[in-house]
Formats: sequence, structure tokens, C-alpha cells
Amino acid sequence: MPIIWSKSFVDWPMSDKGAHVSPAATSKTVAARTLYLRREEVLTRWVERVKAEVKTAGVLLNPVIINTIPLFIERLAESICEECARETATESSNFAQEHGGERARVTQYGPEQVIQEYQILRQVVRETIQTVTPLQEREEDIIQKSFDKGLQESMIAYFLVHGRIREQFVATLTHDLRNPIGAVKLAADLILDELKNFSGGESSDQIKELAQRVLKNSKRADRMIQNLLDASVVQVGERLSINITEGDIAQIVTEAIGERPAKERERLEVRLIHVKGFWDVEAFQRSIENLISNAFKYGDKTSSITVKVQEAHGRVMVSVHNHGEPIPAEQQESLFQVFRRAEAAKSGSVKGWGLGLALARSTAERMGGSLGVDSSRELGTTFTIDVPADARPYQDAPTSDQSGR
Amino acid sequence: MESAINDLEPVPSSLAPLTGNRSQALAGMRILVVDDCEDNQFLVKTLLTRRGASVEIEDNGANGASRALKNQFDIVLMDIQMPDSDGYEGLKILKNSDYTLPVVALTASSGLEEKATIQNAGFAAYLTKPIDADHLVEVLRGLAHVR
Repeated sequence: MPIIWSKSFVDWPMSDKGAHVSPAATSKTVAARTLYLRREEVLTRWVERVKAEVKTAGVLLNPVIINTIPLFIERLAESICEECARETATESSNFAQEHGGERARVTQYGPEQVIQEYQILRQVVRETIQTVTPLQEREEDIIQKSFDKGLQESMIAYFLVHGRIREQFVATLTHDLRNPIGAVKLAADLILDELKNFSGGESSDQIKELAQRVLKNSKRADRMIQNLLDASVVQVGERLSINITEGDIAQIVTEAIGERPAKERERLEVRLIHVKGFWDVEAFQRSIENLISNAFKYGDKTSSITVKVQEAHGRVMVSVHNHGEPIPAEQQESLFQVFRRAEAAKSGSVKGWGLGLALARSTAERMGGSLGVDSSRELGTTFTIDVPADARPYQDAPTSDQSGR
Repeated sequence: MESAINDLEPVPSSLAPLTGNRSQALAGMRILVVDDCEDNQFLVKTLLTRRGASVEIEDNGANGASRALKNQFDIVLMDIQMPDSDGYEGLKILKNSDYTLPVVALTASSGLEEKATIQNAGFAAYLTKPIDADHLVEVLRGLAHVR
């Protein structure tokens, strides 16, 4: 794993006064020198342990995990070094806040996980130094203060950012719910209006058409609420309930497509095969609908969208492909994080809460499968749900939001 | 037109209640509905057509603006949040082309921030979703009336 250290650390200037004295060159304390020289080892061990022990960290990319931690280790070494004018590792810097804030943006990362990360780092730092030299009381004290301070600042930032994300989320949610509810209201108004001037057959046709709109939009509002409830479950890291019944994938896909507007259906290329299997049929359908909806939202506005079902070795793959701007590699994982889009939605005109992909992945994983993305300028973007044809044995499989538990 | 509506409160009805044949309240008016949502297009068109207006539809701000510039409508009813080109963009194109007929904003958010933005953009009035059928008809009538 390549570790990119901050430039200031690599180029730690060799001056004889002030904060930027290299402890490796001048420190009287062996502890500071050890921490400095073994910084990569500390970081590597910390990342390994965080990935293995901290719930949900396993799915994060290394740059996201590492975040501002190299800087923290650098400053800690400075603090322990007696010649350096630094009392604790977080003094006059904001990287602990940065760390806490970033953690709040990561889905399914609770305060518990942030605390655990700091605890692991403290253990690794102490163990690493102690393989060379016992820690003096003064050094223990500095390490203790630095970690207390760092954790405190991280937590404050965590809750601030978390609060902001939730506010944006609620704003987007209420806004989006108004659309189907508004349509239900207007359609009901029009039904009553038509009844006042009832004129037989033509009126009946109108009323029937309007009632269908009421039905469709109330279902849509209900699905939004269901997604929201599911998301709050995923957010706190609990299991979504799963309801496995027999179904035919061709029918599931057809019904998902049926939920999309006629204008979108015209641009869909659908390649179906019949496979009977056992899945959470409703959740599966919602996931597929979500992928189709995303393809229209984010894909090229004129070319066709392809939905394809394949079967191999007892597994079923449903893929949704669109042309258009590729998704940058560094954003591909964060796409699946709950609430992530709420931030982007604020600036862009694309509607959405950022729940869909997180829920779709969680659904696939609950059925013993996965949801992946492949995106390039040449080939376009493909999201693929890959699940076993019979999901019954996987009902209790761990999901990425529960790893390490 | 300015005197009646330019404070941009969600427009209260200053007109006498409609009497007689309600279904012809908008008789003869030509209205352009700009909305990306197919249900809203259908429902608003149904309502306005029943009241005697002739209604055309576009699905985003830029498309709406170019249609309004080609055929002058008595009123353009413009949704704010639309993909590709929103209601603000549509209004901006119209203003830049010295379009002077009323453009009414339709928005699902009722926040103060959005209200101020709509106010500054120069819409003739704004309505919040969910739409109240009678209220919408009165606002449109009012705008046609003061013109």
C-alpha cells in the first residue's frame, strides 16, 4: 500500500529552532525519534487494524481512511520532541476537525467508530515506541493530551457536519415528497370538479384517468417514505428486514420498468430472460428501478439505456448501462454512501437524496450478492446487481455496513 | 401589472368570487406550462383546459423560453426545479430577449431563501406546490386582468 505523506513531513526542514526541528536529527528523546522514523509502520499498522476492527471501515478506500492521520502522527512526534515548541499534537491546527468532519460525511460511520480509530492509533503509537524505549511520564502525558484533544475536536466537527448533512437531507426530502403529494391533491381536486359537471361517458374516462394518477403518485410517495425508513435503518448499521419469496426476474424487471414514465421507456433497450428464483422481490424491484432512474438522470440525454438480464452458474446479473460522462474512479465508492448526494444535490439541479444506491447495494448484499459499477468514457457506465438465483441461504449474510462485527 | 403582484406574496385573491360558468374562467387565454413532471403537465393542462384556456407544454426552462419567444403566450407558468435547464434559466433567456409578458413561478419549496431568489429573478408571481386548483385559476385570471 503506497502511503503519501504530507509534503511538509517529508521535507521537514532542518533548522535549529522553532517548531520545525526534525526530531530525527536533534531530539534528545528516543521516543520522538522512534515515532518519526517508524511513521510509515505506524500508519500501515493503524490502517490494517482499522480496516479489520472498525465496523464499516473495510469498505473505505485507503485515502479516505488515512485522511489527516499522517499529519497527526507528524505533530505528535514534534510534541514529544523536547526542542519543538508544540505542546500537543493538535495545537494550532485544524486537522482533527477535518478528520471528524470527513468521518461524518462517510455513511454508517458513527461517533463510536471515530473514537475507536483514535484508540487504535494510540495503541499503535505506544506499542511502536515501546519496542525501542519505555515511555517517560512526560511523554505519556503528551500522548494522552494529544489524543484527548484530537478526539474532542474530531467529535465536535463530526456532529457539526452531521447536523448539516441531516438538515440538507430533510430539506431535499420534504421538497421531493411535495411533488407526488401535490399531484395527488390536484388530481383529487379535478375529480371533484369533474363530478360537479358530470357528463356521462367522457367524464367517467377523465375520472378514471385521474384516479390512476392518484394511485400512481400515492404509491410513489409511499416508496419514498419506505426508502427513507430503510435508509435510517442502514444509517444506524442495523439490518434491513428481508422478505424472500419466489419470483421471475423477467417479471421483476418488467415491473420496475413499468414504474418509469412513458418518455423514458421509449429510450430503453431491454434484454430479458426468464429465471425463476428466490429473492426479496419488492426490494429487488426498487433497486432496479433506482438504477434505471439514475441512468436517465446522469446519463447522456439522447442515447438509449440498456437493461440486461443474464444468468451464469446459479447467479443472476441485472445490469443497467448508459452512455455519457464517466464517473471518476475516486467517486465510485462514495456513490454508495447514504446522504452523500444530499450535498451535491444542493448545488446541482439533479433531484435525489442519495439514498438509492446505498439501499440498492444493501439489498443486493442481503441477498448474498453485490452491486458494482464500471465506468469509462469509451464504454459508458454500467451498474450491475449480481445475486444468487436462490437467496434463501444468504438471508443472514453479513453486509458491508456490518463488517467487523 | 406591477402594482398588483410585484410584492410577490403568494397571491391572495383580490377578485370577486367567480360566478356563473366556472369552467370558462380562462376562456381565450393562451398559457404555456413548463414542467418536467409528466403528471403535473397532464394535471395542470387538464385544469386550465377545462377553464377554457388553450395550453401548450414544454419540459425545461430553455425549451419553454424558446417556445414563448416564438408564440407569445398570455402567461407562462414555469416550474423552478427542472433538470438540464431550470425555471430561473428559462426566465433569464426571456428577460434577455426583452420578453415582457407575465411569467409565473411554480415551486415545491416554501423556504424564505427560495422566495427571495424568485423575487429577485423577476417573476410576475409565484405559487407553491401543492397547487390549489381554484387559487391557480384566480392568479392567472388576475394577471390577465391587470394586463
